[in-house]
Amino acid sequence: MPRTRNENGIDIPLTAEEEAARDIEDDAGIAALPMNKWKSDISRLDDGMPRWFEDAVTDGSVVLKPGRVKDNYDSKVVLRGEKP
Amino acid sequence: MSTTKVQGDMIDVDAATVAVVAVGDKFNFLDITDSLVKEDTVQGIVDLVPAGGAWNLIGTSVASSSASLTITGLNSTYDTYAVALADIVPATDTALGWIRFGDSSGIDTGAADYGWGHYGGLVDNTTAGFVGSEDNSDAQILCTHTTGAGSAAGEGFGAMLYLTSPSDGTTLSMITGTTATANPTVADFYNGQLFGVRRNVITMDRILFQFSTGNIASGRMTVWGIAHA
Repeated sequence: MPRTRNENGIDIPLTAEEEAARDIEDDAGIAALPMNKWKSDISRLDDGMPRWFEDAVTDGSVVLKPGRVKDNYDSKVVLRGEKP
Repeated sequence: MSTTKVQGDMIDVDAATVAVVAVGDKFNFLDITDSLVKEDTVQGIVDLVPAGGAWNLIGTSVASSSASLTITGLNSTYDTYAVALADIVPATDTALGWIRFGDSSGIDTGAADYGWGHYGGLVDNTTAGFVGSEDNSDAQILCTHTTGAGSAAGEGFGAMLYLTSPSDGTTLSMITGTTATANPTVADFYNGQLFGVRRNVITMDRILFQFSTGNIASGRMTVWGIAHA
């Protein structure tokens, strides 16, 4: 049974061409879900430690002592290692 | 100046026929400025109500396991259009909400047709964190957070958005407004400020909402034209 789209309150069956295009989008959408979640997680950590500061720690320009900031940095390192 | 008051009995109208008032119906009234009985219509009263600023319904689309929702009929009549996405639930958990524009030839889906930015706050069980995402060259406008909308009981998506130009506008077709996403099983709650743009000028006459994958299980999209006079 073909999918339908609703236009101005009327259900319209997708054409064969629309079905094919939608299948491609569906597959890409499913494949992107893990990356979407990862982007959200890293974005949340960016709020506590911007990327430029993270890079400065990574290249040794800034040395962190144990504490909340270092915990944030360590969390970002772990998360970057889990990038899909 | 003396005034004479006359007291009269009300006519018993209990047995009057029930009828719906129409704009063309006539009535009499006493104009005390010249003491004359005059005649007007219901339309005469309606005309006294100041016009302007009214929201005029363009269309509404209700999802029932629908691939997308589309409203057509946007034109040059109104400079601003309001778009409400209400009670939207995806069939696929964490699917992203997408908006696309189109003209009389259909919905635009080119890989570089759109730009968008999404900025707001995630509300989880520890902190309220600011998050943002953007893409200046995409095939759609992302209107949920990047973790998408949840499909479990109570989860979903809603938004109140505005199109900032008429179909024959000088500027690019842009949309802006606020969004709300509930997806507590993945990323809790998200409130966001959305900006989206069709990167080329088109004679925009339609707007579409869909998810990145799967159908829209339920929900409604409604579009109004906002009068400026």
